[in-house]
Amino acid sequence: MLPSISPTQVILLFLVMAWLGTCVVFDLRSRQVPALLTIPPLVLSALWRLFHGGWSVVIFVIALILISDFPWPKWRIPLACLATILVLSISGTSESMYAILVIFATWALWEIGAAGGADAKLIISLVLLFGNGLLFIPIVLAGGIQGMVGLIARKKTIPYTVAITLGTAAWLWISVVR
Amino acid sequence: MRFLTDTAAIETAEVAVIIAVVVLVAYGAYQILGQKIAQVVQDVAGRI
Repeated sequence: MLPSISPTQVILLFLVMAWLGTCVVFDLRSRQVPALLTIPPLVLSALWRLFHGGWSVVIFVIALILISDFPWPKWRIPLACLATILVLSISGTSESMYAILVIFATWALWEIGAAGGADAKLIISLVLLFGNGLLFIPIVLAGGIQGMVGLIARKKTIPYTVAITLGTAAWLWISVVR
Repeated sequence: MRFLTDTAAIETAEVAVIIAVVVLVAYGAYQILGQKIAQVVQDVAGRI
């Protein structure tokens, strides 16, 4: 049986998957995703979240971007922890709490050098767009499987945009389409 | 804007596996113990 979703949802899902697919192509070719494919979606998804009342999450993302440029590197993660606690204390719903925790984890992984900036921006954009941090679970599971394959194939690094795309597709299938 | 200008899309394979394991364990623990933790927090809050 075909799922019943509105034409607007179909267009949105198609655009998201096309965007992620384009990012995968760039990642596989050069291990880089151009800023044009990460910054405008981040801004648009932040505006979308603002439009849906998620101002605390958007302010949190702006705070993390500013903390990234804090002149004393060893104080960046403690400052981000403080910002996380402050925003968690004012966030109303469990969805926004998950979103804040996932955004913090993604940013912290980038800050310690374990994740690329493009991957971090893609995940944060998706969390802002869908407003739910649970999206992170299928992404990290796909990343874990990809990482295992990478370790078996003796590859030190993996193109994480593949995991982001597969995880997002799985999450969309589970939460929106089904 | 260091975060915005970083275009690298590289993840170390080990870190991807570790993150997946940590998130799975944390999510599993939350599913199993979440209700009990909420109950304990409510009890403590009630006593205060």
